[in-house]
Amino acid sequence: MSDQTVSETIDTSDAAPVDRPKKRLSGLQKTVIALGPFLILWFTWWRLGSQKISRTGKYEGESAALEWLYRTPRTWTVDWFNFAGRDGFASVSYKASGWVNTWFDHLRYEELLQFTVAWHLPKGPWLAILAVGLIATGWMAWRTQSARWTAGAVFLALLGWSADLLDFLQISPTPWIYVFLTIAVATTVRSLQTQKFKWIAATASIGTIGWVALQTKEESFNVKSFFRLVAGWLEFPLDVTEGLLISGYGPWHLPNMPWIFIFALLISGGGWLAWQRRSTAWAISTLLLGWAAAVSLYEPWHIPSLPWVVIAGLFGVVGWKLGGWRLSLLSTGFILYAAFVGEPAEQVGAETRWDKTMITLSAVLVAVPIAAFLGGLIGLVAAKRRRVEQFLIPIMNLTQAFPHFTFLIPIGVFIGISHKAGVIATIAYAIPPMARVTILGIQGISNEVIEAGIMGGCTRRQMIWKVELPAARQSLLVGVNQVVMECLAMVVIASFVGTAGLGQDLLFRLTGLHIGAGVEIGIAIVVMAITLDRLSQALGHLQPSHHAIDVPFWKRHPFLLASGAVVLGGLVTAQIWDAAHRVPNSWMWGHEAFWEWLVDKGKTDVAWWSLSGERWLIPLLGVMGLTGWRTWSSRSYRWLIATVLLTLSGWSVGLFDFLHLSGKPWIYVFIACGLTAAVYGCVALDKLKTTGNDVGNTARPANSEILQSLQFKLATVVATIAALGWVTLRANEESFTVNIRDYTISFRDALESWILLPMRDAYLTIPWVGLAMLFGVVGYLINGRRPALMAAGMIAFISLTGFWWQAMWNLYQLTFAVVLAVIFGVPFGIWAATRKRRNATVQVLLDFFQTFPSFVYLFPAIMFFDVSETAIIVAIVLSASVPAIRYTIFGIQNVPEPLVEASTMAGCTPRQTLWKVKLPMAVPEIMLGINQTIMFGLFMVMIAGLIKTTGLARELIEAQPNIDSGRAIVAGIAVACIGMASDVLISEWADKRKRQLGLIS
Amino acid sequence: MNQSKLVCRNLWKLYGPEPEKFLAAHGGNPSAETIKEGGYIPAVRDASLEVHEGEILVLMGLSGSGKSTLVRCMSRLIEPTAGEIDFDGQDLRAASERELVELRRHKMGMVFQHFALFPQRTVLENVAFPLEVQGVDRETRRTKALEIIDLVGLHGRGDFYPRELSGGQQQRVGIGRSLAVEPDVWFLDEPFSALDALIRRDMQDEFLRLQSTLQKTIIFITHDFDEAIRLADRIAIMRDGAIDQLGTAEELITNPSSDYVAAFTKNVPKAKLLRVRTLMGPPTSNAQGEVEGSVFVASAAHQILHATAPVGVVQDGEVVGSITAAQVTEALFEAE
Repeated sequence: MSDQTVSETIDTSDAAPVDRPKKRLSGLQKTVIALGPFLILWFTWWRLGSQKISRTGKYEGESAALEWLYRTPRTWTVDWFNFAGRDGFASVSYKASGWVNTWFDHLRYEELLQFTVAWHLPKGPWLAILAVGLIATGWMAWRTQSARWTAGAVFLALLGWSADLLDFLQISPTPWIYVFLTIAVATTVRSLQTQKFKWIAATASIGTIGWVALQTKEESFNVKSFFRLVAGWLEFPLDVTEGLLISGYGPWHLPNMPWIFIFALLISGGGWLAWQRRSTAWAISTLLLGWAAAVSLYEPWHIPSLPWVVIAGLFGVVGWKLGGWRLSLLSTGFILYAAFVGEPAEQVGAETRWDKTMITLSAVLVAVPIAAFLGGLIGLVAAKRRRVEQFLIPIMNLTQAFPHFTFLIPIGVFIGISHKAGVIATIAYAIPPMARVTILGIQGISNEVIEAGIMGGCTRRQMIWKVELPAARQSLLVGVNQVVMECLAMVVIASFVGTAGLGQDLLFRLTGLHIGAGVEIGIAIVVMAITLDRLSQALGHLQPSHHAIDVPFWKRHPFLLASGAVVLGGLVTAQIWDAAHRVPNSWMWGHEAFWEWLVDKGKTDVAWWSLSGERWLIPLLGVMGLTGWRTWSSRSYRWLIATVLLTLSGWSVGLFDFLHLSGKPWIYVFIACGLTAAVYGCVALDKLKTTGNDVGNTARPANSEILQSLQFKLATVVATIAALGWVTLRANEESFTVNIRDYTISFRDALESWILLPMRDAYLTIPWVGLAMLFGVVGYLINGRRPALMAAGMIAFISLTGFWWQAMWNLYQLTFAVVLAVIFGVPFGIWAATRKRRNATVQVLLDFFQTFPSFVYLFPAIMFFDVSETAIIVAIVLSASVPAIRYTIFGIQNVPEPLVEASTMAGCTPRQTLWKVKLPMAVPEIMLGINQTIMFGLFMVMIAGLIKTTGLARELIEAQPNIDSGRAIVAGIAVACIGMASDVLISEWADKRKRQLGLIS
Repeated sequence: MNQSKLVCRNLWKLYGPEPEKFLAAHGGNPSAETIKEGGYIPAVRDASLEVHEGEILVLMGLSGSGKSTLVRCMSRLIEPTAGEIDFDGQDLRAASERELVELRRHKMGMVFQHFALFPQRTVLENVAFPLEVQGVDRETRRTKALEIIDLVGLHGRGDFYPRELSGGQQQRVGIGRSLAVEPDVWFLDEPFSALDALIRRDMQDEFLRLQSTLQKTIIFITHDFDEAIRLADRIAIMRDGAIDQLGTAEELITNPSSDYVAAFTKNVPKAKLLRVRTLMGPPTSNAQGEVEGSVFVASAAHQILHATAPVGVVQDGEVVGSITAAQVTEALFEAE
């Protein structure tokens, strides 16, 4: 009570004057304002100009204004920036090029970074401008005595010099020396001033670098060679992991560069620890290491590769440690799949599937820690320094809207085409999400924990290592999980710049349209993705807990001991039995034929179905016995179904031939299904009846309804099965091998000729002025000038890049696919969100689908629709439905519980609650889902370029083999612009709406 | 009284763009209205207080009244906008980062409302954390931490992780951690607010027990007046970032400086807080019996109420006044 009186005395604020209600536009008016001009412009161009665009996209009309309406004329964009009469430009510019395009072409010639060549500007006016700039900044530097202005002046001078403007002064030709001199002088002065260790160290290192640079030739100090040098560092970890997994590593010995370093580090570290802790164990290990180093001087070491048994065992142990026996089973299963499944190598010594899987695995194992480390570092700095964060966040937003391919371009330019280049591209792609998660994680640490750290007397460094990083551990591990997934998403795409392994194999198969083999490799990648995803997730969920005090050693470290046992046992086995070291060819087994059979039975010789021999019969009988016994003991239908399925699969591959049963397995399938359904239904009915009697009618009034619906469903199922069985019996055996593709292909043809192609042609005539206006007006209606300018600007930029009609092509695919995905995804999400159990099931499915790298969705699409527009759209719909469903469920479940209760108490039926309360509240979230759908769709359009290139995807992918940097980067930016323009509009709207609904404050 | 351990004078903390300039422009002491017009949020306004060695000073106030900010300014977790802080004769605002780290490592300890334990460390490692960052070697800090774990009553739980403990136990770890460096000044930021009422009571007893052996200089934040009365030597009541009144519980009750302070003290059982000498009248000749002036009314009530005449009040052996039954009843059942 006292609280209230007190707070009343404080609160004496006057009520703000009531605003005059603004004139509000109705929905219809808004639509007319937004769509009207757009439609008029579109119609104008369609009637007047669209015929004058040739098939290659060249405008053949007279009216320049009309062309301006449709897009920025490329003569304009090129000429305007074609400064200094560099004739090189004319020859590099492509059929569709703009100024940005040509600018990026510098990269292709690596000129941008060799200033003296590229910036060959004429003097005269430029020199005057430079002089003015120099004087101005110099004066400001003098006036304010600020380091910034000094730096600006120095930078300007360097710039002018590198463009040869200062030739007349006759100074030395290598600007870098002067850069070094400047920095060196500055650091020397600073270190003399402060006498701090870091400045002295900096001076020393700069001196060294400068000296080295002086020693080397002028040419060798080139940014490109510098990047290649840095990239070379990756070779070492890659070689070591690949060596461990596949081919063995060696020979290595001490004088070799990284090893001498590593040994020095390890031995000194171990020695220090041994001294510090007086620990015998450390002393012995250090001595052993020293011995190994000494021996390597006389006889180089050679590490043999690990046997597959050991790798499988280690994965099993790791899975067991992180997530119990299920995860252990999954991880071991992944390795076994890699070892056994796949076509045997054609000749001895060729790479098998195992080798390729291990190459990919090692690339991921190397890329993940590096990307996580770099991303974490960037995130840490950004979380600490507000300015860095403000600078980084927009860049990260941009890079996340870039299609995967864009990351390959700079890599290709600077590092060239090689295995490690792909790994670097993967790392680059995975860094931004990690940085983002790190920022969130560090900033999410509760204030009190930080304060506790400070009050404990931590220095800044101690804060980072002892407080912040450990406290943000959970979210950092979520970031690692994301990094793993991003790396696997890049596996295939990075093979464009030469990454070996599964991705490259898949790329070859896909471009050669070997669907079966493609699916097989795709499954291998998916299995790897799921395993690594679950492992890294489990790592994040791991919580420490204490042991009772006197527990024996083996109980405290079960996993350590188990992995020791696995390694030892595996190595010994591999010594004795060669097959435990490397899987023999005869054990491998490919199932690609099955996939091709599935699509098109006529094509293959059905190799999968004629497995025969006792080798397989015995294990099958064993497993059948086991499941049969479980069925009997547990009386559970799952086990029964498993047994039946096993029997059927054994039979279908001809294992039971010796029993001489009837030749039509399908009959038995139907009989079995019918029986199972009938029995299952009867039991369920019994159960329902007994529970109904137990509880009494009052408690469960809906029981009879459930009963009725169940009876109905059961009857339907049994009837369907019986009908299908009967049809099969009537038909002859051959006629049941229906070729599904006959149907899908004719569906595709109809769809394309009636809807898709006309729609595409219509989209290709959209003028840029109209579209930019549409986006601008919608943006303005949503939230004023800022979103309007951003959205319209991005659309205008696409036109400026010179890729207008290409962009419109992709836009049409995107619109159609997104509409389909929403039509399917949103109602499905609503359906799934209504029941708890249903929701749980759907969530598991969604998680599963989200683990797939996106190219996987191409397979079903090509299987049924061949390589066509339809296939692309189907792939987009498949991949983009996932976010639509997820966000819908999330939105509906996020509706505040009191609201639902209130509407129920007001007497709403469940349907009314859904339509009148839940859906309106969930709409903002659903819109965000649609936003994600668009993003996923855009990525998918680009990835679909793997099979068929359309629009911007063509510009991106055709540029890859010859690294047309300008073209591909600009196309990438154009794609990002489409995504970001819609992102601006949708997220602004959702944000505003959520605020109105009070879902966020 | 004892000498001052921690003094702050005219401490200010404003939130907003360039608060130093704003403060300087208004002569270092802008009124609440000017601050509001300038668009600034005053977290601490012109706060001055002295903490004596060995005393428990309680900061009281509603949430948002600036008590946490004031304490954080005094430990420089938050940089104050203006004012002076004096710690053991050292100017805290002029202290460099290095000096601050040293001070915090040896002279300050802090306990937090939501415990702020490091989830990835065991109880032992949590308690030993301040020693660890000081660079104390492993064995010493283990011995020391075990001692403290026993002291706060968590014997045998050293290997537990914080999430395996109850709330009360977690706060014991927090207390233990802040005591590990044997600080001179001990800040407690609503240490018992997140606990259930019963456990809170236990922890208060525990706290008093610890203080009776340790004799630290303590600044204790709470929003619970009963808690303040139980623990405090002196109480400072804060409102809108300023200190409204600073004094002993008795002073606050008998002589509230504002309605705000009076509102806090209204429902307090006064008999347990007022001393006989506060209520007494002038000495009379017909005094019957004697009571000590420094005892609480509640403990002398029986004697006074059963006496037929006023009771003499004695201090240091001299009679200084008298008290009647009527005065006692009035004090106990003061009209609302």
